[in-house]
Amino acid sequence: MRILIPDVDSVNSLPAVRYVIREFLSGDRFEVHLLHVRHAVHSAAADHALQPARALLASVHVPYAVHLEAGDKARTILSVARRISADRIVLGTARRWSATRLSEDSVIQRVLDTAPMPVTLVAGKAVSRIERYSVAVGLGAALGLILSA
Amino acid sequence: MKILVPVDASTVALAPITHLQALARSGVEVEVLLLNVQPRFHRHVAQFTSRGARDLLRQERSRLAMARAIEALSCTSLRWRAFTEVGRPAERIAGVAEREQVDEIMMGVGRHPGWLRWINPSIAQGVMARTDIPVSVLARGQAGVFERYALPAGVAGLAALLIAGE
Repeated sequence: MRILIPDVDSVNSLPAVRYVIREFLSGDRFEVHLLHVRHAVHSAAADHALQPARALLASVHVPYAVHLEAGDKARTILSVARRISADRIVLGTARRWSATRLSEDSVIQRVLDTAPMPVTLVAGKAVSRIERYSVAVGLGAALGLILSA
Repeated sequence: MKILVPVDASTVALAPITHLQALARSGVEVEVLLLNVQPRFHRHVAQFTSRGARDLLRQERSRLAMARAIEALSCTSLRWRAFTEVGRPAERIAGVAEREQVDEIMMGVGRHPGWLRWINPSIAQGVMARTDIPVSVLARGQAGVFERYALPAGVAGLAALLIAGE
């Protein structure tokens, strides 16, 4: 069984890695494929982003491979999933109503809409009150500015 | 592994069962909690009917909604239990998942165009916003041509007619 963990954003991909490790420790056997995808790949930045995930996987001896890809996030995730014949995609995501999630939503939705294999969404840390309201206030202010212009 | 599978009467909702069967065959111990959520009746309906009659109707609807899933699960070696809850789907699914301390929520969903999801947000996304428990989504089917083009084109046409009429 092959599990693909795309690194949509490096902070929230860690809960996905922890979830996969829990499954591994409970007896499920699989290989993990970490995918770092950005519009342009810089190997130093990719190494830095994937380091915590790699350290976690290595600490419990989960076999893993790393893929660095450049391109449209959703499309690349799906093409890599097909190429490696992934049985499942595990996506770590920010909580809804967080600032990060606003930028991720379209990627997640496109992966959900098009992936032929199961997609597991693992939510990251809970959204703080400041982050939750700052999104709404920011949007309101932007709308106010547009209307007043 | 304890997995919550929310189902309605649709065929796509049965997708997790096949997947869980495959998982069980690979040696993973799986326990399935089947859940159907029935909506509350509007207060205008509720005030003219007895609680007993409403509960009976919900039970009947829930039994019908879960019939195919129960039949499919009965043909497998998976351990399972079935529940019915009343309320808002995303809220109740997240609530039951927390109460039963499941390891994962697994949902079969249909593919719909973006505009339709904007009007009618996905329950899976709603569940994910309410819980820390991982949510697996198995998307099946394709958005129909009518759903994708005909309806938005119709609305745009109507709007154009209204503007031209003025």
